[in-house]
Amino acid sequence: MGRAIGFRRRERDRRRVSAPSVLPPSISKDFGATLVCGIRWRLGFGGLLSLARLAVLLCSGVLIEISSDSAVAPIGSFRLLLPFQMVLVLAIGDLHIPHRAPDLPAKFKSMLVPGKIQHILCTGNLCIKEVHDYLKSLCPDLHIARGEYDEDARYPENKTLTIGQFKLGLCHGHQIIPWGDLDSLAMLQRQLDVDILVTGHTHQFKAYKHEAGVVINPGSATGAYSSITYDVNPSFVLMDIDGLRVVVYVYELIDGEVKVDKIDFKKTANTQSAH
Amino acid sequence: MLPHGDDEEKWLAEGIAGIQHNAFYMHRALDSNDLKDALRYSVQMLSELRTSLLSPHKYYELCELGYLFDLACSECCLCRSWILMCFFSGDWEDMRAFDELRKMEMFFREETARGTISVIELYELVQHAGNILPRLYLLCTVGSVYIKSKEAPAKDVLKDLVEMCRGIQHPVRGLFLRSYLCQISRDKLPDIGSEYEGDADTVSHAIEFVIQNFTEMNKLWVRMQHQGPTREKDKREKERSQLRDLVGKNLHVLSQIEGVDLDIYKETVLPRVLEQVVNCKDELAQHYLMDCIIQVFPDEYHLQTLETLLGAFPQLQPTVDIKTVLSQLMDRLSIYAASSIEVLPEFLQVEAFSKLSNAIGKVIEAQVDMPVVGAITLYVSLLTFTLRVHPDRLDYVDQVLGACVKKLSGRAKLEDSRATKQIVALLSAPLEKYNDIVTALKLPNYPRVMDHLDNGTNKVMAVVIIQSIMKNTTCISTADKVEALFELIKGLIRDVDETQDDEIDEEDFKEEQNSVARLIHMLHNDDPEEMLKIICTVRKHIILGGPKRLPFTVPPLVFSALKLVRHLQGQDGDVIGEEISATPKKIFQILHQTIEALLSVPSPELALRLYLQCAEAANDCDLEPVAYEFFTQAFILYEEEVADSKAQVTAIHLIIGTLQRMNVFGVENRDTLTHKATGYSAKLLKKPDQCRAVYACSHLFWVDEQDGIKDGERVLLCLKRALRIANAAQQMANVTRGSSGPVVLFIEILNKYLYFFEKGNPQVTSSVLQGLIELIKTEMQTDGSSDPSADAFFASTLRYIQFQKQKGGAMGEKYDPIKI
Repeated sequence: MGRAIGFRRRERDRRRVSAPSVLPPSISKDFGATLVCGIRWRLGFGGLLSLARLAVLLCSGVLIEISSDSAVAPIGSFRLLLPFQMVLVLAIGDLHIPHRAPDLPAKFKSMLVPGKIQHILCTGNLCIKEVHDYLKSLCPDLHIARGEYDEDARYPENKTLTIGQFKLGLCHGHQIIPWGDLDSLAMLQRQLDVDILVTGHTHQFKAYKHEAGVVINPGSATGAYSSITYDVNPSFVLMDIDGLRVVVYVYELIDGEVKVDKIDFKKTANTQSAH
Repeated sequence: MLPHGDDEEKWLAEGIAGIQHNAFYMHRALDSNDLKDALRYSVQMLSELRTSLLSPHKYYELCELGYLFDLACSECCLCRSWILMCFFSGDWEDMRAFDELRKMEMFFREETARGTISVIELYELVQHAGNILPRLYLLCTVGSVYIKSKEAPAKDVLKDLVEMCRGIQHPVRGLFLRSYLCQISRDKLPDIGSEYEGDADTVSHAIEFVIQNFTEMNKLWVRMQHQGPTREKDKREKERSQLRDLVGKNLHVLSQIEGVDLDIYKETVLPRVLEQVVNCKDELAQHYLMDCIIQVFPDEYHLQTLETLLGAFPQLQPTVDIKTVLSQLMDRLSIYAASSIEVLPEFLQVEAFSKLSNAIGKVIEAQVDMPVVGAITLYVSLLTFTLRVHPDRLDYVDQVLGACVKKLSGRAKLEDSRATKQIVALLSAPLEKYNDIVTALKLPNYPRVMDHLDNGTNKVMAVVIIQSIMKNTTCISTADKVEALFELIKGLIRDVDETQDDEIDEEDFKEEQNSVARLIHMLHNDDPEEMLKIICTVRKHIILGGPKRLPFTVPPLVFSALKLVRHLQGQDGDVIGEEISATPKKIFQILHQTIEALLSVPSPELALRLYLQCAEAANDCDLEPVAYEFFTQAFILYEEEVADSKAQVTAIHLIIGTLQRMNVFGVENRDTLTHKATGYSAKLLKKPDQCRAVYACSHLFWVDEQDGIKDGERVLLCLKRALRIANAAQQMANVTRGSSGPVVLFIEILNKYLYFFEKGNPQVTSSVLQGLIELIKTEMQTDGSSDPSADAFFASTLRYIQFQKQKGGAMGEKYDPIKI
């Protein structure tokens, strides 16, 4: 099957980038963004890529201001563009509070601030109402699939929704046997007929692209114990959905440091025509 | 006979008019330099102050405020409140007696300067006034000029004046006269560095003068309460308290004298002032003056004279509110200690803590009637003091708590809400100071104090403790500390009192128990032996929690233990000998017993999940019998306890999912378990659920790993069985609803076939696939009301097949025969 075609998670020693350096210096010099740490990034206005970068900055709370370096592109037009272009989707799950972890890592909590995220897809196993309320406070558009430990029985087993031009599917994943098996998940993806399938249960971050779309597992946001995965690092995923492109940012807490990885997916015309 | 309000106003107006009238003539006389007339009118003017008709408050108005309490004095916070009060009630436009006296003083000064009359003559002259009150006012006024002229030593004049003032024994009049004396003399004391300083030891005279004036004033003030009928005692006490600042001002002046250094303060000032305070035996005076002493003198003096000062407390009247004063002192001292590190050695040197502690003990002992809240307030102050001054002395903290326990012993729970509040303050102080619960755990008296809280507050305090741990991410790392901690929060861990079960709010209870669950993750040690001890300790406590608490507390404990198992697994190589107790086997025993407790709740679904987690952990540890036992338990629960059909579906998927991952079982055990799992799958209530569970079971016979089981035949059996069920579901739908059933099941099974086809199961051939595709196509055509989601599913499945065909290579070849 098509697992080899697209991106595969790199090995342990893959290039780790810290939060601000998600943004390599840009090609053009139209815009700058000042970060908390005092670093000023130049952001190209030419491509949508820069918007995606900005989106992450906005979301991660490290951004202080956006300003224009040149008169070519006035800041006003930039601001106007933002609401139409930037859709940030947080994928998070398997928190297992309080069964397996006391709380979200403080570093994650400080990054996840209300008002920056448009949708939350939660893969379940929260497990208690307090966590539900916390996520709701980050963003009111909260979608949750039921995990086997959730006390709230009203969560559906799986859920589909459309964001921009993408159709997304959400499922915890304990129903899909063998657990975490990509080919079986691909079958669910075909069944739900979605471009992006978000599942959890294995507590290990994964993002695969195959012929029918993308399968994402945001891992466990608390790094909870799992019988499937050893040495779980806390992680969550932020998706910037923008036209036919989705940029997936993986935030992972390794030895107390937040590492960010970026993965780029493009929806092919082929799958789109099928709708 | 004290006047009523209206009359009083009238008398006040008359008095003011009299003053104004005489002042007018006095001015005229002053203008024409007529000394005799000026004196005469000033005497008449001052005679208005002889009135006994006015209450002290109104009397005050008659005297001039601005003069009495000029700016320098208003810096003294004690007077400020009084001045403000008078400012709003009094009329500042009016000319008042003291204001006029200032004019007289200026006049006298001019006169003596001009040489028309010597100051000594003037001093004699004013003594001829007929009435004693005006005479003494004028004498004081001239006396001030006399001192200024330096024709006689200041100490002599002052001594003379303070003696002369004894002539007035009417309390109110006397107080005001002496206050006037205090006022005019304050800048003329023969202090060190002052221009009036004499040759030898004049400071002692200045001190003597002020103390004497203070003593006399205090006597007058105390005596005030005895004047008039008993029924108006309350009112009089109120008035008296309004005048207290007149007395207190002497202490303020004392504190301002440069010459009062520590030695003099220690030897002379404090003992004499205290003597007066103790001897006056008056509640109001004692409370106010003690407070005053603490406020006006510097903190370092207090520190050095702590013994003397504290010694006075037990001698005070039993009704005096000592706790406020004492708290005040401790607060001041602790602020002083916090102000600079350099002063801390002083505290140690004078053994401030033990002295304060003793004093408090004595006061509490002496005042039997003191309410509990009072005593606890004192302990809170003492605790604050010791936390600031001796943060390293945990024994002091415990000592304070111990004293508090002693005071509380013999009582059951506290009912008084204010006392409860103070206890909470007492218990929170060390937490806030050290930001570390581990410190508090070292205090043996801490839980004993907590015991005295009522159940509700006890729980709140326990939650506060937990929150403190969470906030500071404190790791509790030994079993002893865990034991102590659980002793502290036992209000949350078990029912202390069975009677009040119904009152508990469901939401609150959940929140509390969830916080306990979170707490369990903070109890950690990297050393397996110690960690095992911690787990056993936690288990011992939570097992007592009863059915309501277990579902909250068991899962975190189970996962904590599973983490330890995994930790041990990582160290396999280092296992030394048989002696160590922290073996996975041992832990699994504990886990087994712990989860068993959930059965009595009953909470079968949770227990089933935990059993499966344990089974998988045992699998990873290569412990076949243990894993089998856990699986057996899970199956028993499934059989006997899980009744809800929806819960059964989830449970069976979890069972299959776990079993699929197990590789520890031998053929026989594995057969038993897989057989059971498939059997239960086929017995689910709803046909679609049956079908899905059964095709999921196919994975039990095909593990896509190097040496995983690959039993193609049984896989096919499962898939065929799933197909039969899908067929039956189809027929059932036809019968009941007259429409065709869920085609989607067939498509799902097709996808499963595709899976095994790709994995190389020889039983799944392209012709089988072809047949299935045709079947679905027919079904979909006959199905009148088409299901869009099934259509999409089928379309994407076909698209997938197409994709695989085009891919080329081995996979493409494999797919080649399939026609779509």
